[in-house]
Amino acid sequence: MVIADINSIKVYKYKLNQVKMTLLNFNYKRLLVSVLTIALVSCSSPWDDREDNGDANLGVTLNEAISNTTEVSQFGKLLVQTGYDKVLANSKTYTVFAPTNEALAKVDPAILNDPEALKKFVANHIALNSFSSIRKASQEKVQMLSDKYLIFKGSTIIDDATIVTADHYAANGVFHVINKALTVKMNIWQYVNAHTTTSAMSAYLVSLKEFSIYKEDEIKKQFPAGYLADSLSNSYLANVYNLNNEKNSYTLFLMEDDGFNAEVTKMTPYLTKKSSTIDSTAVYSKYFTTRDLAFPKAYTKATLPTTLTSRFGVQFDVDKTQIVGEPIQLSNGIIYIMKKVDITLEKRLLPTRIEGEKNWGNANGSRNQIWYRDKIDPFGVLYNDMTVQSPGSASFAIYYGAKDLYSTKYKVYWRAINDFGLSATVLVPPVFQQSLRIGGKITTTGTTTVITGVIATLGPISVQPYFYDEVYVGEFPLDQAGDLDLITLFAGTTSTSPASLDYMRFVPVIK
Amino acid sequence: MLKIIKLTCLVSLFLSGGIEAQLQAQTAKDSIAAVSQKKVNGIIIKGNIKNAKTNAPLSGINVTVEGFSAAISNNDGSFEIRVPNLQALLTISGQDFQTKVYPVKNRKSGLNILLNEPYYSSTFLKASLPSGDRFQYNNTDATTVVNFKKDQWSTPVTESAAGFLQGRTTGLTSVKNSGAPNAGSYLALRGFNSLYGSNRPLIVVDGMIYDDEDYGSGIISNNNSSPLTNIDVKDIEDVTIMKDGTSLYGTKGANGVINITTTRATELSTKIDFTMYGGINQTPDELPLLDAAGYRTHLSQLEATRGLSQQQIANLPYMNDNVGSVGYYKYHNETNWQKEVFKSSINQNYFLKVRGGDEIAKFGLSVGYLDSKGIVDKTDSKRYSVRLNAALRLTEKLSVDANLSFINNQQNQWNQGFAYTTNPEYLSLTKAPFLLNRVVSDAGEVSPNWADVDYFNVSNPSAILDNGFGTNNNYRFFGNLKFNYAISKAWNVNSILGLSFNKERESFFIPDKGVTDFMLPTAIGKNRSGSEVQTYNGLFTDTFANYMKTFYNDHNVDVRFGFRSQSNKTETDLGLGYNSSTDDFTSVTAGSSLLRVVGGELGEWNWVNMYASGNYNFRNKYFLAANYAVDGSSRFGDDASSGASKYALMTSISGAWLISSENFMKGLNDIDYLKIRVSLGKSGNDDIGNYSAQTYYVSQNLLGMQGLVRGNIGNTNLQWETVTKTNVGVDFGLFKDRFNGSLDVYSNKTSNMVIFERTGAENGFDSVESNSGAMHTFGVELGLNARVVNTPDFTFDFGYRMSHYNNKVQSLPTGDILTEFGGATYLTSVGKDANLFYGLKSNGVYSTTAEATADGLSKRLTNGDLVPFSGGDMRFTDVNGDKVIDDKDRVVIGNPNATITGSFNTDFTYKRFSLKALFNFSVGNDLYNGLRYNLEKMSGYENQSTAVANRWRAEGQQTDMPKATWGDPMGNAAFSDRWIEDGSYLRLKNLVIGYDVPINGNKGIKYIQLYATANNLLTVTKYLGFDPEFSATSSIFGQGADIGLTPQFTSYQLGLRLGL
Repeated sequence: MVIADINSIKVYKYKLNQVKMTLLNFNYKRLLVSVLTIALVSCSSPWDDREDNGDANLGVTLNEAISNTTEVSQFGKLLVQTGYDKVLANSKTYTVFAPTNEALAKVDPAILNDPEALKKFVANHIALNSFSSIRKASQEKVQMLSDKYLIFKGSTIIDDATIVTADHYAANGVFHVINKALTVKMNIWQYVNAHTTTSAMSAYLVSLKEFSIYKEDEIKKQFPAGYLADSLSNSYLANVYNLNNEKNSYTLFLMEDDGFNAEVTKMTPYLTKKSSTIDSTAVYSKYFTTRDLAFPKAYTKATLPTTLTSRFGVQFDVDKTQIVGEPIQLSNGIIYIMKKVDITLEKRLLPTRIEGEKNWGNANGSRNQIWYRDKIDPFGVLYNDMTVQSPGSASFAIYYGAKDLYSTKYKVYWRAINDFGLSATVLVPPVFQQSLRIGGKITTTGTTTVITGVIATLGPISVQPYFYDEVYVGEFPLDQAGDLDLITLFAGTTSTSPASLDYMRFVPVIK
Repeated sequence: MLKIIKLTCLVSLFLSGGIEAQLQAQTAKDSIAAVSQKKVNGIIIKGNIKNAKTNAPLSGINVTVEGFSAAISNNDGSFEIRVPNLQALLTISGQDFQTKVYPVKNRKSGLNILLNEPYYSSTFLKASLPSGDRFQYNNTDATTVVNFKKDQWSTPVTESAAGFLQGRTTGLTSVKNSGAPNAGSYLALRGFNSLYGSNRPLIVVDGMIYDDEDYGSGIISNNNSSPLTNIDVKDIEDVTIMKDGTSLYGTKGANGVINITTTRATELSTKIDFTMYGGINQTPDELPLLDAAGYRTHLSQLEATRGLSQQQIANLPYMNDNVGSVGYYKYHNETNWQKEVFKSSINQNYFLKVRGGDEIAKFGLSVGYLDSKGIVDKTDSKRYSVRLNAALRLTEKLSVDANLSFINNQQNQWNQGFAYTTNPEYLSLTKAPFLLNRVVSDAGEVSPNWADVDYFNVSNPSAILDNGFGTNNNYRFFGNLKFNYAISKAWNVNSILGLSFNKERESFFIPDKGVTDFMLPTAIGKNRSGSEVQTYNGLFTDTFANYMKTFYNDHNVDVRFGFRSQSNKTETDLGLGYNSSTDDFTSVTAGSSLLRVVGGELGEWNWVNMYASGNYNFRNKYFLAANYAVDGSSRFGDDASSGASKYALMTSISGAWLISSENFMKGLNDIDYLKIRVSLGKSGNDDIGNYSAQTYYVSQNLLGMQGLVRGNIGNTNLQWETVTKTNVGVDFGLFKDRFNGSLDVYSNKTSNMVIFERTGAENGFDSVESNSGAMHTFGVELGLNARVVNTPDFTFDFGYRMSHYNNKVQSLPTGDILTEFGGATYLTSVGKDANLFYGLKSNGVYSTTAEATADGLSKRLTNGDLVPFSGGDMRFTDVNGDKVIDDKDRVVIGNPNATITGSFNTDFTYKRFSLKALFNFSVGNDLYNGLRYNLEKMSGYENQSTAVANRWRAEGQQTDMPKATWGDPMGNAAFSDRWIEDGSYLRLKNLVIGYDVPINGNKGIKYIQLYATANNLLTVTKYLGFDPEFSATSSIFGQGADIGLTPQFTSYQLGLRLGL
């Protein structure tokens, strides 16, 4: 089928009128032939106009558009040099922040002369997706092809550059002309790595690649590189924050050597960790000092709060007078160099709380005697606890564990709720007794089980009906910092003796 | 029934005067016979007969004055004949010439009579009217006769009777439904008269009503059956199109009547016509779509608006550009899906017609085979047809005509229109071009297996074409016997007894592999199958008496009265099956028994019609006709007050003055024929629903329990719609009949128009059907024919036809009617045309957000939030000024009705060659391009048109294509004038080159003719869709909405016709 333009219909209609008038002149034959010719010659698809709306910008790719724009022609050359011209010629959508020729002239020649660095530099100006200068969000994090994230603020600020002219478009995206090149910045971890020689704290953080704070770290590190996320290659990154992650922003307080050493010395007595062969007290002292110094948000100097709480619950006041120089802006956050970060022991050594329902095993009876409850106490507070109401055997035992205890004396408190055992004749819950054994090691030989190395046994303590306050249980000393894997809660000595525990609290005593 | 008897008595009374007249007529006849025997009163007149083309004198031509005298022309063409008076009418007939009549007009000599080839002038064609066959010359009504014999042998084999009529008459809107094989046509005469009832003219074949409805829902989407397409164009003798004066058909005549006469058994010598045709169907011009790269760019922008982060977008499987990596080859292809679905194809047709007989029995037998393939792969229609028309003279007075036909049609079809996951054509336009229809391995090897549903959850059209099917197997027997008993020369009695039986069996299967899963009420649907049987049984009778008489050679009277009845039964039974265990089990019974759905519909209605007509003319100059009919139907409600049945009374009266026969016209030699016609009449439309006037119950399932609930509010007052028709027309023939034509002006007023009145919500029903609307259509029609060049070797004929109508709704008691079809909204409102496109008005695209903010318009989201428009959004016109763009800002944005439709033809003949071209056109109609909406809405995974490459991308960009946004929250693609296009077109519908092979006196062969035919060769249009002509539904609410049906296509055909 041939489609012709509608205008020729009008020609027809006009001609038809003519035909009617000149019918008797027998001119029609010639007219018809000419009209048909016009129609055939003017044959064109009605889509032709629609497809090409005359906008030349849509006919070129970003790469061509940038090369054709004189004020950013130098950047266009760099695109060709680094091969990114091919990337920008394909059919995804990109945004390019193209620095002007003048801005490009100010770039460190070292970058321009290093092919690898140059590639990374060019990639730092290109982002997937189209980012218009007019957006709903006031600021947006834009991931560049260099894998760095830059902040696009308002309609004119990208990272530390300003947009000169915005919203040039091409078939596969837009580009903005900016007045300053976007050089590639280090991230926090790269900075730390670069300063191991001058900063003891940096050196220590990097050393945790070799030393594993926890056993599970060691297992993870055995995987070949790239198999798991890089956050697992270093105990600090694994257990505190992955400061090597570009996607998030962090703040790290990096103490100068004196302050760092003083703080570590303060922590040393509580982190005694000696085996017969190795004394790793120093490593742990440093770990428990530094783990409270990283935060999952980039605090600029203006937004830095007066009080910070680390992810381990340690709260301290930020002493801004101790900040050395200006904060260091990095691609994924900010580092503050501090003379010292002085945190009192009271704030550092936090009590350990063990929830009743978080037990890991039991003995002297069946597991199905343990009940887990969701309850509301008389003060209207929700709590979860564990009860054993009639275990069917004497001295029913429930096992708990505690992590990261300090080498000091601990005071033990618990909250145990006694609100059960009622019947038609028993109208008030009868008082029962339970006790606590700290430490020990279970050794099984054949059918006999022996517990050795018990640190202390606390109790028995009476559990009063409807008593919702903490009860002091006793205290025990700990000479090695670390984990207590076996803490045993014992019910009474008859087969009907119950047990109950909402939580236990181990409060370290400052020496 | 009592009422019927009473009415019969009434009719008898009415006609009793006629019977008296008849008694007198008997005596009158005798007296005339006596006069003619004496031949004393005759006046001798002289004249000459010549061939209009060669101007050579013609000998052996019969000249008669009916019932008075006869003569034969001499070798020099001269003749002498006695006429009763100088106002007489000569009838001139001869072999190979068109019979014509010639008024003497008070001249005694010098009559120059020119004869043309058969079927030349429309004035002397015979119209088949309900009141009897009549020359157009003395017809008082607006009637067109289309003689098929001129063009039927060269017509494209895929053309149906309705398609053939397109462009060959004025006043008929014939819109082909689609380009699928055997697709029917939307037919309407003179615009439309009803909103909810049918606007299809009554179709009568050989005196019997031909039911052309499509019963049942049809389980293959948007494929409608039209039994009319089963009548072969080559079986049709002529078609009479009655635009007014249809009162004799009572409440079935409101939309006019198309009266089809099939092969007449008139030949005494045996004649054999054999034809064979072969043709090629050409695939339509592809719609320009985005290529793989353009589509991917579009997607990457669309995904960003969906809220995916840069990283998520980079991780999408089709965004991976590492050659050889997992999935690379799957998403890096360049597939033209349209090429996979549209395939050029061939068609063929063999047709044999044998006519012959003797004085006692004459017959016409035809046998046909048609294999017509579509342009969508694996669609076709195979038709086997037999027709036997016989005329038997049993006794001197009793004769029987038999018209029997049997047709079997086997079609292969696919879902059409917006069957988004199963229509191969829609899928070919919207499926991602970077995918392949076969499975591709990660190493880039292409497997022969079809790819399954893709990442975007879009079906693979190739898988449907290969593993699915959709068949429609239908039969129709249509036959009648017509008894004629001639009581006397003036009186005869006729009785037609007819039977039609139609059966249609549809079944389909859509496989699981390669097709998107779908939701069923209790399960996820995998594959699906269906089977449906539709039957129609109709019994028709028509018994009438005729009286025809000429008194004193001046007064001609023709009276007919009769009784018709029709009883009809329809039944539809369907079953749908889902989730058969594998795609190899394709029947409904193989589907899961828990999911099977069965259903059906029953219909039954009866109709009786008593009618009487009288025609009178004086000296063939002054004509008067009156029609009268009384109708009863099972569809009408019983009168609420009396409880009695309702009867419809339909009358019409018409008159004509043949000015050219007046004596004062004898000097004006250039005016051969001039007639003025006036008619006024009432007709009815009984398409009000079989059971709407009754209260009925439907079954309902509630939590597993079956029960019956009220199905409607029955309106016992419901009755037919009444259409009052007035018509004034002029027919003329000028310059020795070389230029003739007719002009008609008409008005159709519908009263008692059925509408659905909204009811209060508390009664549980939305609406009740009532006769409370009114509408008015006014129109003009012009038809012209000219023999522009007339030489012995070369002739050139030119014909031009145009029709215009204007519609106005006059009364809608419950206010505006808004209807939806295919994504378009239509408004029907008092004072405006019915059925107008109603949507938002747009004014370009906001180039910048600042520009949009300055306008201050916003859009209310579904959660109630007001969101301002921004750069790249459409700039809609805020009609009500409330600064919010919503439904209240809709205005009329288009009219699907054409201002002018028409056609022109140019026929050249040179010696044995002929070149005929038929152009048809439509001007001023608007179309809703629903397909383009899907190709430019930019809110989902559909592939888009190339124009989408111009979409808004950045602040400051000047374009008319808005931005791509997932889900289109701002309604940029809402129903608006963006999708309304000018549907005007001019089409070279048919181009035929014919050659009459010289047979050099070979006695066994009568003729050999060769034809080369091109169909839809050229379409001049601005419309952006495949084709500007389509009709997705038989309702007026839906005309002009393009839902992506298979387009009409260009086909070329070679044919041979052999006469023995």
